[in-house]
Amino acid sequence: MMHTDGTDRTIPTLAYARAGALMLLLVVVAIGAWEINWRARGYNPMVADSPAFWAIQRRAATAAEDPVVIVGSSRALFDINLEVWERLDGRRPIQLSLEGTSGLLGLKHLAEDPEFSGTVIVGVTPPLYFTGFAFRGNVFEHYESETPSEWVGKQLSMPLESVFAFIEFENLPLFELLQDIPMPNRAGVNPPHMEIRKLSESDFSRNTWMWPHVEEDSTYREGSRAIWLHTLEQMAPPPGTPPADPEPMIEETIAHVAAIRERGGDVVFIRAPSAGPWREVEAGGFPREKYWDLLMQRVDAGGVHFEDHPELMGLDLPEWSHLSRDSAVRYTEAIHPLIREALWR
Amino acid sequence: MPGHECTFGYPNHPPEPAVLFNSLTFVAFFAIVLAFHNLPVAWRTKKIFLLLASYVFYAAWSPPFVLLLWLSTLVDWHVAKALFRASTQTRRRLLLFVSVAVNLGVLGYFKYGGFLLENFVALMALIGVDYQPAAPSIILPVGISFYTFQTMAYTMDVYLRRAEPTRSVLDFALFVTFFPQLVAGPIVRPTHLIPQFAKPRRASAQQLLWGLGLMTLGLFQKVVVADGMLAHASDTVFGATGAVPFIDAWLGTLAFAGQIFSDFAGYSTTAIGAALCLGFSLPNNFRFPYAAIGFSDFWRRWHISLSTWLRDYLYIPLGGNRKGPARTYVNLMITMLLGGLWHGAAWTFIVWGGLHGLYLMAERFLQRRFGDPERTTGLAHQIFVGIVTYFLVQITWVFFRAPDFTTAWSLITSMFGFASGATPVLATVHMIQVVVVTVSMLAVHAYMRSRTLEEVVGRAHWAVVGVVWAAMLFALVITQGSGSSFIYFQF
Repeated sequence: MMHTDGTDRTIPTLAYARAGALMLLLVVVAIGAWEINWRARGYNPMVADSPAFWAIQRRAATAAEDPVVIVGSSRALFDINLEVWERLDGRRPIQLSLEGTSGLLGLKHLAEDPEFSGTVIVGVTPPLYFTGFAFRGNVFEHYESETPSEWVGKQLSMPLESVFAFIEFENLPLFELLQDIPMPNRAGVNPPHMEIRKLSESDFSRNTWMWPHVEEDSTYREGSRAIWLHTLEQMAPPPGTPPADPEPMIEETIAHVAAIRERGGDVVFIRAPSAGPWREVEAGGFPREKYWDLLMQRVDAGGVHFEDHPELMGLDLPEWSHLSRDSAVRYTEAIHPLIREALWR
Repeated sequence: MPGHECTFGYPNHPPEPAVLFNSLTFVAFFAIVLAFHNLPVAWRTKKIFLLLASYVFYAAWSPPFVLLLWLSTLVDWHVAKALFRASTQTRRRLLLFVSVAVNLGVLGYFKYGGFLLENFVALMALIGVDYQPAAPSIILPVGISFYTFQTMAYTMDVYLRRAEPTRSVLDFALFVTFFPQLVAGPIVRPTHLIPQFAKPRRASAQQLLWGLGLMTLGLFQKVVVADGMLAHASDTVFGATGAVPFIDAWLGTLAFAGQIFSDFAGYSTTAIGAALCLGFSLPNNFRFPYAAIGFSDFWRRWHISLSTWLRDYLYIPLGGNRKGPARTYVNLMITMLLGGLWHGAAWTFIVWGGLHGLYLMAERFLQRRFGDPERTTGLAHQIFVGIVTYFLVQITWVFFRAPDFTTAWSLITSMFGFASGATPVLATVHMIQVVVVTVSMLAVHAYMRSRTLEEVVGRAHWAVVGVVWAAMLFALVITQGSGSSFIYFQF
């Protein structure tokens, strides 16, 4: 049932056209069904916020003339709505904030770029900023070492991401999903997938907002809160651990602000709202007077702390750390003039 | 408190793919190459395009290192021609030395420079000299171990009078650079590939579809099996900071055994499929190695292009088995130690090679006394030897995968039930995945031991092939490969 093709490779005898056609038909049907399934569960086609995508935005920050650039962690990412800011300011900010990552690293990256000149809004989440924590620190390395093929890969991927909801590298790969099957683990073994499937959505300018399910589905919301509680418990330092020393971070901040100022730019710091256990942990571990206030005293730059402005309070934080989509709109409208004022002082 | 603002929803972001076979960039690249290759243009033009495409393929990772490819190409092209014309043995030896020195020199600098320096510093410390050199920052060029072996084979074939040098520099450059096998093999022999460039080649419809099927199978092995189902368990166990229990140690090792096979065989299968789509033939690199009965059999099934290379250009020139039993054992050990070192600049790889050398020596000794189990004994004995082979191969994988001897020893201790204070690390879902893949893989290898994929597919109904093909492709799409590199790229 076989023949050779003239070299030493054997080609099996088969009704290739039929097999290929059946394969194509089945794949199209299966992918269609898979896509419909995830759309029905509230997933929409969104950008995959990979290091390559961050690098695209980062390059835009250098190329732009007098841009507004936001660096920080996920609060700066979720809470400032780029559409609203553009409406108020006339300029659409470039969003470079990174989940779970100190805003100081973003500030440093811009300060050390001699080609960059612009206004930088730095989100300060004290447990990250004053410890230098970098959950997504790999993006900086990627930016420096991105290969041509990685760049091409992202350019080719984005049109697909804009069509298919199931392309979600963080949440929907098959073996990420399998990890969610509830099954008992041996004592001492953490469940493999602590994460709630999804917290946010981003468009192709990294404008990011809370995923509607977090707001609308109480079970999902409670699930995300439970995971924060677990995270806060796991991250708690052992008793007797000395508090984080803010001094090195403040010194570094002073130098970076000076570097950006020298090139005609400016810097402003914001402390976004938090609630519930997050706020308690932050107040206990990183009291304002010892961290934020000290930063503001030492650094030659303005700052906006949500506790100082009634219009930034009373907002909705469904899972205690990030604003709901509507609240992010209100927050952006309210903080825009405060930031402008802080920059003009 | 080490804060962690937004852990959930954002697991480790995967690295973006380079021109890996498992990347969109490769899909686009391959589509363009395939389209051009099928245009009605002259064969020479097609070959020039293939060569340029291969350079682009390599440069898309690390553009400056194309210079090394050119160096290797130019040196062996000229040396082989001069060797062929050389009339004296002294001149022939000198020319061979030039080729080997340049190729191994480049390989030595980029691959073993740091390792040699590290061991030199340790040696100095042993004799009381505190030598503190500047830390080297040498980047390992992708695929260097593969293409240097390929070009050396060309020159050595001419030296050993096994072949004449090709007259076409274009064909030779394409042989060195041909993109499907450039960065991770198979290590193709010049006598196999260069003649294929002489005449126009274009895949028939059947070859094209079979090639695409092989590419799907290869990528399925890499993306779904190696990365999706096994990498996590393997990484968790080999990355554990403390001792792990017996079951975790074994499952982590079995996971790595499956992962490295699926990763590397997946690459080879994809490479063979890609070449076939263009009308070229590459040799098989794996033949269901986990069904091996004994270690000679294992090495006839695992990384065949490397093991035959080592046999033809190292073991046989050393004397092979022609100089008596004692010398045969020494030759086996030298070959396997260097084979281990080929995989990486670390003592753990040398131990891996050394263990295989020991196994081969012991097997040879036993075969002289009791005969070859493959040929002379019954099924039960063959199964027994197969299980022992598989078990002993697992021990070698511990050294291959472990980052250091402390980790390796800790795992070996656990695998033999001597670990104390062990903490489990594998989640139930990952344990199940490892068991399912391992059992399935062993069953497939056992069934396919004396068969070929082509035979099995040739006997199957087209609808079965269509369904299996669709299942693999669909699994590939929804696994959304993280674009992680093939393990063998680092070698």
